[in-house]
Amino acid sequence: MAAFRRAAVTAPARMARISTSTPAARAVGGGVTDPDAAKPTLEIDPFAKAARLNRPMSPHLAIYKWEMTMIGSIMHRATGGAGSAIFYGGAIWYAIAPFHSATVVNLAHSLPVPMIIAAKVLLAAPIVYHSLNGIRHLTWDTAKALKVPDVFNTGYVVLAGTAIGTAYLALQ
Amino acid sequence: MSSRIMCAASRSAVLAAARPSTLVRRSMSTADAAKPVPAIEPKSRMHGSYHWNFERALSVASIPLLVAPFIIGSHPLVDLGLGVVIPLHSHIGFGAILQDYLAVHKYPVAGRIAAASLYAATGLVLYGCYQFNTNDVGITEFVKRLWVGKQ
Repeated sequence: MAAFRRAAVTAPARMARISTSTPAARAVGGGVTDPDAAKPTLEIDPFAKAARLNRPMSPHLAIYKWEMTMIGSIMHRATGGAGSAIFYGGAIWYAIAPFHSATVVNLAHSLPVPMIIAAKVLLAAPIVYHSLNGIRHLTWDTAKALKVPDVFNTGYVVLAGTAIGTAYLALQ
Repeated sequence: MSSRIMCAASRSAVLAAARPSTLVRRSMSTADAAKPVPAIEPKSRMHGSYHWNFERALSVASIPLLVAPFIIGSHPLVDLGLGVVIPLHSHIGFGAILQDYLAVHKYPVAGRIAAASLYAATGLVLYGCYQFNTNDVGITEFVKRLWVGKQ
């Protein structure tokens, strides 16, 4: 019955639908002035077009439900960026104003023990996570473990490894 | 030389296959055929190939460099390697972050300043690592002492 009704869409209505189904047709028939309408796709400047039509920039993250894989992905960048920022900070400091390593070591171990353990957790967790997740990335680069269940399972393995590795390093 | 010609030939073949609409348009009008096609693709088809391999090489190299100190302890060659691999790997990572959040096409001034500053910072980091590895105890020994508190 439904199929019959679909087939019974009148011919003029169908033609109207077809005539508005291409960018060029829309530009001519719909009263919309699209300067890109007649251009081949590869010659359209996507950034200019997105700005002109006030489109949101991709990736438009707010429309997606947060999944573990997404959190793991942004955490890879965050941990890499944070770890590198600390490394850069220390190395640039040494390049500009060389210090004695013993001074830093003595200063660190003059802190109360709970604070030292907390600092070890805060330092070790991002480094361990980024290292293990980096191996996951290198695995993906060989086109392995790319099915969605594999992506989740390797993600859980990395999280478990991060917990174990961080606990081991923090208690050294 | 011959490989360059072959590269150019196969590149144009790839581009031609990628834009059939351009081909149709060209065959219809000689005036259009003379019009240069805008350079949308990178200049070389190897662009995006070598630097990708270089990034992976750095990542793969960092695995033994990070594992070795746990097995053999501190070694000057490991320190030297870490002092080069970590800065370059970080440089690429920071560069990707800048490209994503401070893209030059969107922030022409700030994006360029940030990109140039990154090069300066990485240069200083490479220099600092070399100085630390040659004048002080080295990266791995420093981390070890910082971690377990022994002098």
